[in-house]
Amino acid sequence: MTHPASSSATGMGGYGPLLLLVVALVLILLFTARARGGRRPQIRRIRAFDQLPAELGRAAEAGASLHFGLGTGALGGKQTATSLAGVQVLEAVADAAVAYGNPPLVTTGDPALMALAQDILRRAYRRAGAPENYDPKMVQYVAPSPSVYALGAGDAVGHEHVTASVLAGSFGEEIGLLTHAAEGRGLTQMAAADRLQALGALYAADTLLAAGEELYAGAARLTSLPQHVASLQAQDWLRYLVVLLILLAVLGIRVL
Amino acid sequence: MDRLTKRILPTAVASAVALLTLIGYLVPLDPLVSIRDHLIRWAVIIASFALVLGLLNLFRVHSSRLLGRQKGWPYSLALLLAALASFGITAAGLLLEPMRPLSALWFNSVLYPLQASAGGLVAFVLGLAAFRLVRSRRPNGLSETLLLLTFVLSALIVLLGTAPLPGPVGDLLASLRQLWMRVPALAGMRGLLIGVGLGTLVMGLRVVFWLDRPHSEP
Repeated sequence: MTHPASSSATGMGGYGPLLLLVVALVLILLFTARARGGRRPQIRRIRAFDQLPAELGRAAEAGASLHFGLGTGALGGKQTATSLAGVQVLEAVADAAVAYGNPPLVTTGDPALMALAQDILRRAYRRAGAPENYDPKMVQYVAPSPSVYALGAGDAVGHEHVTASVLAGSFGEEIGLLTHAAEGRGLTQMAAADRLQALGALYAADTLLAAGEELYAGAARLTSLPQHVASLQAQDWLRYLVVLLILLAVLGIRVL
Repeated sequence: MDRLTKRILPTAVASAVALLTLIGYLVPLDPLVSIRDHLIRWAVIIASFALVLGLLNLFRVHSSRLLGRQKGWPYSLALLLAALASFGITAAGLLLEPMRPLSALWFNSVLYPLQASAGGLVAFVLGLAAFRLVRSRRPNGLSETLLLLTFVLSALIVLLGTAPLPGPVGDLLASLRQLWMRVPALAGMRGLLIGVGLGTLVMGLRVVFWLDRPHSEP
């Protein structure tokens, strides 16, 4: 672990990962500056996220909430970025949910993620000028084990007054237990996940699905903030770069 | 002062720790590796404190549901009793030698089988979901139809190829499954993973370089 990656399918050896990081950083900064200057690209529609504001409104009309499942990915572990992407989706709708007076019911399997989600809701209440209405029980820590989390969150979905379930974060195939509970109540379901095991289960369930890297586009689609839009552009350019490196490696040309 | 404690300090700590850990992985110099290892150990310690917060939240949520006689309160009662029993037995097992067999029994004969049975349910639920998908999903447009057909075809090839069918048909299906898993499935999987990897990388960089501050006021 103390040595840089020696080789890879892309033909990148030695300091390749470090170079990739530098290129990614330059692209992000460049595109952020462009986006702040008003040059923002169009982001394609992703139904799982596009439906979210409408579901929020529907829940408000029914005097209910949305369920937000952030999964079991631990902050500080391998799934940190995935969990943060899920948290950003929550953050993108937190202000609107608080303004409507129907804060989401959030479930998570990681206590650090729970604290972060609580902080996001607390800040949303403070911005809305009603910090006294914040209730820490809106965010529920369920269990770290994926199957127990899915069952526990399914129980919350079954007993609380929610009209839709949003899943964004790190999940395994056990998420099928939660989607099954939500289907049983006839809830609209939107899901964004990046793990293959979860995607198989979520595709089979009746969900609007954002698969793989689409999870990272959630905040950009919902907020259009320059840094989010810019990071999507940087991702696209990095993808072209990786494709090019793979093709060169196939042809036997080592670039790095 | 408020700005310092709520915006600058959390962001500075997060960025500095993330950068030092990252550099420790990318540049193999002993001092950097040592700093990285220390930071990871601290993260583990802090995460264990977060677990205490999580448990307190669990008790708070379920005791309020129980005391308010809200819908599903008997489940909350069962959860609280089971959590207390687990805590008591584990603590007794750690502190008192004669209680260790009871602690082991609790884990091996109650908790693990319960978790295994929860895991066992997954297969049934996924099978049911796949059945519902084929029966009732009405794809919207060509791409969704192709996706559905690919899903069904993949499921059939993998299931039939795994079944121990006798004779040349079984051999053919097994090789078809192997080919399917090795070429189209693996190619799709790698494409997805590359996209996820890039998303993870960009997300991490945004947090490290202050473009995103999930842990503080924007």
